[in-house]
Amino acid sequence: MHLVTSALLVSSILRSLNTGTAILLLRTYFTISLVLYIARGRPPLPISEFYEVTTAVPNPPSTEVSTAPDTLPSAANPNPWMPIIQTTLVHPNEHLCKTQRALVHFDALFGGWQAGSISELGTGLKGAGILDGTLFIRAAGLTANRLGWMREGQKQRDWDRKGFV
Amino acid sequence: MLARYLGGFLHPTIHSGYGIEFGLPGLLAEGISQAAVQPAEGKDLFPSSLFEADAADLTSATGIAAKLAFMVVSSTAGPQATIGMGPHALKILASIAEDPVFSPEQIGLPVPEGEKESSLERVVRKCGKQVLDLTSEWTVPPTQDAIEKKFHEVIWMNVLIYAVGGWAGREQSEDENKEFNGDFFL
Repeated sequence: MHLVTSALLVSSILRSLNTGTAILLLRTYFTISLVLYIARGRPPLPISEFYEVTTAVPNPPSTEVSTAPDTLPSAANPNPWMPIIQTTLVHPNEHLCKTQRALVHFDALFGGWQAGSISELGTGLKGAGILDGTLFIRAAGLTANRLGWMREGQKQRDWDRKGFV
Repeated sequence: MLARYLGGFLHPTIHSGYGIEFGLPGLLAEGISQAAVQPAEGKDLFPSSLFEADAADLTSATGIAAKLAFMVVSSTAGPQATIGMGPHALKILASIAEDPVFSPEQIGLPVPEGEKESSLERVVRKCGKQVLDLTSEWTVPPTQDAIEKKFHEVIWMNVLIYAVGGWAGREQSEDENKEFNGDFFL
């Protein structure tokens, strides 16, 4: 989770540095991110399966609404970020809010990117062509589920610390 | 100091970043202070050549001209904006994800109990050079626009690692639901 939260902060830091220093920080941050990926156990990255199984409209535990006639469709959860932000604001875990804040910001930047925005051929990363702007809401939904929708009655849970080895 | 700044699972970076974002000098001071007392793990990832090369490139006309020629000027902020700026961050990630050199088995992870080396130090010791060989190919042209666009590649990379990697490793989650391995560190 710290790769996600740090990315938001590095953005602020880069803007306050001169060009040469910013490039040095960016390139070393890139390297350390990859080293941490390896150090945690280098989990595989099955992008296609991820997109098949996870949802771009994560729901809170209950989406019961009582709508009036002529209410527009998809009223149960028209913007999936809203319930996630609501539940995050009152969740006691201090890293959860940082993570969801980073993800919603990245969604604001890249949420509109369509599949094919990143070249599978160019990157050689299997499934890269499927990546689109829904990556961030999918991540947010999984994160909300993992830590528990406490406002909605689920028990408080915590981050995983055992890694992938 | 750069190793210390990025050490401790990026906490000095994160803390000082909050200081910059919210205009709170005290937080920035705390973040830098933490960097100062952080052990410099993985020092080999920060060879002195890294600092000399960048300084030389930026002050030499040939270096700057070469980098500018390399860069494609794009007026859009869209996904194709980093074409012509060297390999995409995900290309380097793909190499690392597939090469057995970076597998936990090859490196000897997890570090056996009783041994003092951290997992990060072990990775740097066993395959730090191979990591640097790959990441040195990921270059950033010296303009604010290029820095921003190349940084966006790292955002995608890091969220991908956390989300897709975390989902792939869900059976190893400590959660009974086994839906997602929300790794504290990734």
